[in-house]
Amino acid sequence: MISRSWIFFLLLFATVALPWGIVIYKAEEQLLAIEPASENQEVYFKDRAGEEYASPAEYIASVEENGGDVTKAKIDATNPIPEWETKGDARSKEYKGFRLALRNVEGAPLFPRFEGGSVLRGKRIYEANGCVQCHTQQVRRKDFGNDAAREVGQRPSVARDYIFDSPALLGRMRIGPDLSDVGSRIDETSLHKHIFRPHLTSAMPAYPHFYKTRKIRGDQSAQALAFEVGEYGAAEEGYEVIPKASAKDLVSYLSSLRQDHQFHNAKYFTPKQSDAEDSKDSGETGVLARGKELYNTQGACVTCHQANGQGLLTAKFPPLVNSEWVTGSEEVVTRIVLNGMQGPLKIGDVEYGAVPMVPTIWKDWPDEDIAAVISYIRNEWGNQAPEVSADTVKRIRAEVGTRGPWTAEELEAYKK
Amino acid sequence: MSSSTQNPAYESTEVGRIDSSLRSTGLVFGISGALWLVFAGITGLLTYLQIVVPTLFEWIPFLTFGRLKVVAVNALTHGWATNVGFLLIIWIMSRLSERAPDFDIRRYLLAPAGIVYNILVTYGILAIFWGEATPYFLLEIPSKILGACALSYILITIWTILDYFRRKRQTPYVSQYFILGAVFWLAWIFSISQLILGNANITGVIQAVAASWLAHAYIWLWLVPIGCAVAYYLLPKVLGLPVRNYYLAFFSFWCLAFIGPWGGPAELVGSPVPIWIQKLGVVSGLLLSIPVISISLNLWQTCFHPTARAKLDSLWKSPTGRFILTGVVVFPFFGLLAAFDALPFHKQDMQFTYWQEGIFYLGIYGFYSMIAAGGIYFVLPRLFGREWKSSSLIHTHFIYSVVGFLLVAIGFFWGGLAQAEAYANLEKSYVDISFITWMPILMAVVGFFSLVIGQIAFLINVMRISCACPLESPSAAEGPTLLTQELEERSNA
Repeated sequence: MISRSWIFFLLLFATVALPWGIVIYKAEEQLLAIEPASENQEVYFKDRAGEEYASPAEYIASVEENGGDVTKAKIDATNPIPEWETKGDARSKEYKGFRLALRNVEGAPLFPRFEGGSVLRGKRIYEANGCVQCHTQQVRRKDFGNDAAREVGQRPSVARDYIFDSPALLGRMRIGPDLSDVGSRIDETSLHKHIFRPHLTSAMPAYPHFYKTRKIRGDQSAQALAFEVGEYGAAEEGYEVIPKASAKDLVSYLSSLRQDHQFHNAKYFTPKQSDAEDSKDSGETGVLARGKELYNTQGACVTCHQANGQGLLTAKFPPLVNSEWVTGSEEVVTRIVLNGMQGPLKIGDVEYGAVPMVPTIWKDWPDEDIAAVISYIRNEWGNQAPEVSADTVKRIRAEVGTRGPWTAEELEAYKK
Repeated sequence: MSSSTQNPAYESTEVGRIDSSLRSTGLVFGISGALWLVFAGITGLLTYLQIVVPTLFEWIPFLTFGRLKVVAVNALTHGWATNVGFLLIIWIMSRLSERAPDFDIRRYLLAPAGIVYNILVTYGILAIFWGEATPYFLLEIPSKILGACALSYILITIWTILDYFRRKRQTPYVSQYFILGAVFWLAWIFSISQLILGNANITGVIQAVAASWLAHAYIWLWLVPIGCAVAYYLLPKVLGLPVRNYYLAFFSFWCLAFIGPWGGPAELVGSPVPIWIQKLGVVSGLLLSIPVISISLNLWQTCFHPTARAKLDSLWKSPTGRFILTGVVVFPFFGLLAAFDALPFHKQDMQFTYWQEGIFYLGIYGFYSMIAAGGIYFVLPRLFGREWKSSSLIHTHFIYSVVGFLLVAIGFFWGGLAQAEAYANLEKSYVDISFITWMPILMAVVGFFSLVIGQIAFLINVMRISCACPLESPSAAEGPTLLTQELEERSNA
């Protein structure tokens, strides 16, 4: 019988199951997806055999070349599975289909770094001693509280900073300072001294049991803390303070805490010196800054032409630096951006264009944005060419309508 | 364990049979709850003493602030609050089902569940001392141990639901709703919590989102419903009047049921989680004021309505009535402070300050512990068929508890305000802030000291009623202890 009691229990179930189901599921979907950082990481693709491609289009082209199933390749290419979502559990079978992967741009630091060894052991010590009870590890955004004014960190924290953390030590109490960026502020020796005997400079309890005070026999140990005699009332004459393994681990964990990499959704509170110069170079209009932002949007220009504008030689993506196609007539470059371009074309001695450029996410961008991004590539990396106005883009867009990619011959006509 | 019959006449009734069948359950949960309460009070005192005197325990690693604070909070919640909550919901549910079981399965199910639960919590607290704590508020006991505790929760949940289906009277009483909600939600949230936090694939801030949820649910879907169930059941009993508005009580229950589970992320407003989660936290946090106001209105009207005024005196004379009345008076202050804490312009100043501790301790010590202690003062004499040994100890417990939780809460609120003000002043360093908050925290420490005195008085009383002391006057088992009785007797003598 469906009595009132059963309806009651059903309702009770719904009250907890709904929020849990909806919110945790949605949040997980959103938070576990890593998007590449704008400057230091690039996206590439892998097929079943582990072969690397710079874009889905290149993958389709290669399948076509080898006489494979193009239809299937096209279906795969529309929805590459991010590789990091297929790993994680060592026991589960690794996904081998067409997938998206991340790699470091050479020379740039990966952020956040996956840390192991001493840093992870130090994190365990941090958890065990309840450091999280007094120290947060999160910098709040500029319009929320005064973290920016107090210089708690260099920039607001974002979910991505914690992607490798289990547990994530966000904290809920700030009796002591925030530690999310402590690695950039304080050097290791000062950290050791502070943990050993913090009383002169703070209200933190001391953790002397991480250290060993012993009589110097012969020469002083190289590992001993560099106390001056009597400093902090710590090292008496003839004694030295040696950090135990736990202290070393803890300090290497603390030193690894840095949120110093800028993301598109987490800019520095106070722009760094070099950034300030950059923006001075690009004029006061802000158009170039906007263009830079658009260029670096995930899935836009940066995906193939890279943040340095050099393209990818291996994948035959042409460079934008020093290219007459970019810095030449605005008629040409605007047409390429609006409709795409198809090879073959030669820049220097290299032949490009095996993979056609097809407008994707920028197809629906407004004229102002298209103009901004074109102006940006015409004035970045040493390129020097007049900016393009939104009116020009509007005129050309009306002229060309929707059509397929241009070929080099077709565009010759627009070169003045 | 005492199974001797103290009052045959009472035990031959249906109510008496129900009560005596719960004797072992009361013994386990009552004594362990009171022990945990004293332990939590002492560790809480020592924790905040370290803010006042930072060098206190620096050579004893396991007593440092970070570990001791976690121990205090977990002993208070998982130790005291949950234990005594189990006892109260089991007893109220049995009483409301009005039917003593023929085969007394309670002795074989509930008391062992309680013993296992307390062993697990003890193990969890030791694990925190060892340094195995997780960093999430109210979930610091390692998830393997807490996951095992979920088994106890589930056992008790099943028992309570079976008890509900066994009831004589078909029209449900509102306390039954609150109890069913509480046991169901607790078992659910702790099972899910261990699935999420124990999953190695789920890393990063999603853990913080889930954990904030669980901490919020522990307070709003476990402690608050128990407090409401006890107040809705015992207040009318002591007063001798029905609940003022019967339907409003059900309305508040469903409000709590539908709004409560959404509330957790209010704690994460401003944190690096997606903005829609923060907004959800703010909205549901503010909406919580609806059940808070409707519950408070109903209970306040029951106590303070003109028609009840004549009975208010009897409420004050009964220890049960006095404790529960205090909890009911505190509830709207705690509830509304917690609800409006989600407001972003308030949160941005108060987020990482002692203000949060103030709300927590006001809720636990001012609202929940008062009501739960009131419930214990009503339940234990009936289970054991004995009278409380000392009404002066009850007096001590009451006065020191009230002074204690007021000092603790005001100390932390003051400390939070001072901290926020100093934090807004860019010239103040963290050392300056610790000097500024020295006085407020000293006040909270004094409050904890006062609480501990009250708690020890409570523990002595509970031990004396539970252990087989000779019964002084058999007739005393009939009625509740009245705080005036002993005084009158003394003055007569």
